[in-house]
Amino acid sequence: MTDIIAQLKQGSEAAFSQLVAQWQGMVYNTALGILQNTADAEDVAQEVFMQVHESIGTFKGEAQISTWLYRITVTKCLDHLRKKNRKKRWGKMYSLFGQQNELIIDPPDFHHPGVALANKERADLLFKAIARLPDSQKAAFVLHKLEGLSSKEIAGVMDASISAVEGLLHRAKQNLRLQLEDYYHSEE
Amino acid sequence: MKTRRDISQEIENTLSSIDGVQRAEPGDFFFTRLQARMQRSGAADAWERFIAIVTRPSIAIAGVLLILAVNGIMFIQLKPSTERTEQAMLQQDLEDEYQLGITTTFYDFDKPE
Repeated sequence: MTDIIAQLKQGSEAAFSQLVAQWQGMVYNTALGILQNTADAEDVAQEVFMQVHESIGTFKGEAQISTWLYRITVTKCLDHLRKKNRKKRWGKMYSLFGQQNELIIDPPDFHHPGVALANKERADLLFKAIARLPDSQKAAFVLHKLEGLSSKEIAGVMDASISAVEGLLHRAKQNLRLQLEDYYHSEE
Repeated sequence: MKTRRDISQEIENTLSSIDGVQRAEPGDFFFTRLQARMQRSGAADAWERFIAIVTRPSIAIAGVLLILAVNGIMFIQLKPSTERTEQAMLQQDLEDEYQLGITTTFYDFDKPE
């Protein structure tokens, strides 16, 4: 891996292509879990690799390349969500004054392509609840569940302590339980 | 009607529904699309970088302060000095004496706006 980094720093396109091929699934899957939209996830995944291409010179190799990529991906995803929410708020504001604006509509349901058919309905429900979590809880939960990262690895990605990450995961599960409880009670 | 235990079981099942989920992959030719986007963004980059630099708060505030400083210096320098007023008075005296038709008087420097 250090060879690829060294070649990337020298501007090798072949090394960049190899890096993209190796990590595109990890970056895309993380982005998809957080954003829950295939087009947005592809967009962010491209932005991640563009940033890697631009700032490879600043990568000192202190962290693993996967940790560095996860960190860029999570930051970009959360920025993307904030921008989208801001646009939605402005869209609502403009609509009050009758101005024409592009419609920003979330797709009705998100289906993760990797979920087994037997779990599809439950997974859809869970993703809907994940979407309502606060940003940091959402990122930690997605990294833990979809990417299988440990608390220590998530702490490296999110630049936080292990206890802070464990707290985030605990609160995320608690919030999800509350949401699901409401759902199952209302279903009766 | 579901019992409390049923609901807890449902919740646990739902929470574990994405355990061991297969990793999603981007569509085919991801690298080709990435390269195309990098080429597109390269052209707009120079202009965007310039705008990004100019709109940095430190640069913007420094620019405003520079403009204000230049204005202040110009204001102080162009303020009519006593020397200029004296010169204008001499001109006026000369004009009065020889009727040269010089229209600038020292009142032009001294009179309030």
